[in-house]
Amino acid sequence: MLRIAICDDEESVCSALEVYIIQACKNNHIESEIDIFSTGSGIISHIKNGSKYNIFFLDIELKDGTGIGISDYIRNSAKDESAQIIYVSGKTEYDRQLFAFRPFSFIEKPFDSIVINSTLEKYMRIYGDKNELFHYKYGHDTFWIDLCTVLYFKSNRKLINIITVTASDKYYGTMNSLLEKLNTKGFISPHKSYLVNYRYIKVFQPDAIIMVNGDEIPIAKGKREEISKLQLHFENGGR
Amino acid sequence: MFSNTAYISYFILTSLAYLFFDIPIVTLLLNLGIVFVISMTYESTIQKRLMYSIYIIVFMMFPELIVGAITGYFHFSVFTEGNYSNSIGIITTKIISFVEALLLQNYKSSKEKQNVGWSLWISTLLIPITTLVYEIMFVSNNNITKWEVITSVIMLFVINITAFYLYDSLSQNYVQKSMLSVLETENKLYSRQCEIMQSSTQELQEFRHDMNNQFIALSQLINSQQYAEAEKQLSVLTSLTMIKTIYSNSGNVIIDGLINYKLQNVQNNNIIVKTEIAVPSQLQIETTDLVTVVGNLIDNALTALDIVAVGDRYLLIKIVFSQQRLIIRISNPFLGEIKCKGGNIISNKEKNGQHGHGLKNISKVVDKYKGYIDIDYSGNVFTVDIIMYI
Repeated sequence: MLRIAICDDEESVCSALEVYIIQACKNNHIESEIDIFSTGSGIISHIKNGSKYNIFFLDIELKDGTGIGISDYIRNSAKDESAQIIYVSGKTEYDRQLFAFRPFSFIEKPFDSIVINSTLEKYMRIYGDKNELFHYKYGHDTFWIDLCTVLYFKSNRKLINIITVTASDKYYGTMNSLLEKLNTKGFISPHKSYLVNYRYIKVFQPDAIIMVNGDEIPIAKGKREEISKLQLHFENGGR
Repeated sequence: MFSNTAYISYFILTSLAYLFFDIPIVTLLLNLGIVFVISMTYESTIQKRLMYSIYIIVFMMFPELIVGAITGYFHFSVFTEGNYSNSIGIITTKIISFVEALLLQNYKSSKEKQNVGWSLWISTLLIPITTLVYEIMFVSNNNITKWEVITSVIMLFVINITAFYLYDSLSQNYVQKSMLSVLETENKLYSRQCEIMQSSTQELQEFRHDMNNQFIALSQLINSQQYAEAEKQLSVLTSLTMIKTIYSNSGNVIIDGLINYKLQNVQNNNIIVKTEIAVPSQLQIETTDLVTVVGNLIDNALTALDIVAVGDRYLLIKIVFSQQRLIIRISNPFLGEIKCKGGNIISNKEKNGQHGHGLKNISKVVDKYKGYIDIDYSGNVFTVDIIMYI
């Protein structure tokens, strides 16, 4: 179930966008729940009260000037690094600041159904829509965590370290069995000791991946081409 | 100031050590010590300084050992006073060290992508080698006086040092020239973009003016109930809305200028263009590099589209900046075969030279930014995907 939020101060835009999104979700077999907001403060107070969304469609040119403010709230105040932000705009000139919020995509007004369709297709291609739970055993106890909150797994001999947004944990296991379980769930393997959640990558470098919490994950020399190729596949589709 | 002192004291101390002791191990250690002191006048880490000092000593030692061996001097102890007296050998050693330094400098320049032409490489070697050969021939002549030898050696060094400074200013000239051409390219793009922006503002004003007139005429017709005429007027209005398109309006002058410039004629060629451009106004990539990649990609695509059936022509350009990467995709239909040679695509054109370089230049730039290119030409659609880390 994808929770989607739309924020635009023009009602006609919101309803048009909602129609396109519903159609696109249908085409991509996604179950979705869409909330519509017409002001920046409206959406922010909802998030403050605990509403969580997977995808935000945000109008950059909100009349009360809070287009950038909402993104700032999502990333910096609510510290939600996992939600994907899609900017909706009537202009194609994008403020430098917007790129710092790691937007998923930019959509131009007036809307093109093909564009919205391929945007949701891209989301599915990278993240899928399953909010998976991950089970692991440590000692006599079984634990579970939401895969959505895991930044990366790091293997250290027989131990697997789990680094999440808020904490870290460990258990006994092998990277190979992890790879089997998590293949195609939005995780990439830049190095034989690491399994990284694509969602939480802040910066890509040719030889390292920097996570949103600042941790630097090395990319093994032999895997550089593969990781670049994977990024192209994620971002552009095809192959 | 300090580095000059360091170099001068290097010369004085090593010469004194040689003149008074001439014990190889002492000379070696003294050399290493003073070279390290000289390295302190450069900004670097202790490890790098140590490493490079040792490298320099090794580089200087090499020719000495080799020339010594060639001239029969290799059974010696490093702890006793040396007795090497082959003057030609000593001079040859110094010339070889000099050539080593020049070659290393060339190598460093070519690594920094300052194109060191073949001619420069060859002249680097020719002058020291020819002067050396000449000197050897000169001093092998037995009817020679001490002063003639001294004079000829001094002249040999003067020639080489002069050549070195000439060469240095030549390569600086190269660098300045290429910087100028980069600025020129940037300039052209900026002024072209300004022109486009200006002409589109003008066009917009003219358009508004036209539209206003049409609306006035239209309302007149309706008021006087000339509905048939009004309908005709409406269709005129519709055709007026087909204004010339600006293909790229991202705010990044280089991208906008480049794309709008290259695509200004596509409407005449019946090419449907679809662009997806999301970049900030400034990108951390050099203008020439961006121009090389995007410019060549578009050129290749337009060339291929020339022979595609008129109704089938389309061009897809995607340039997106995200998380310190530049992601580019360009896609177009094509006709005919793609020829490959050794894993690389070679040109379809008769004039092989000119167009084969396009993809090669793109590759060079992508490598520079440690990126990756993926080319797919299945189903008669040519797609190039590029990722570069900036």
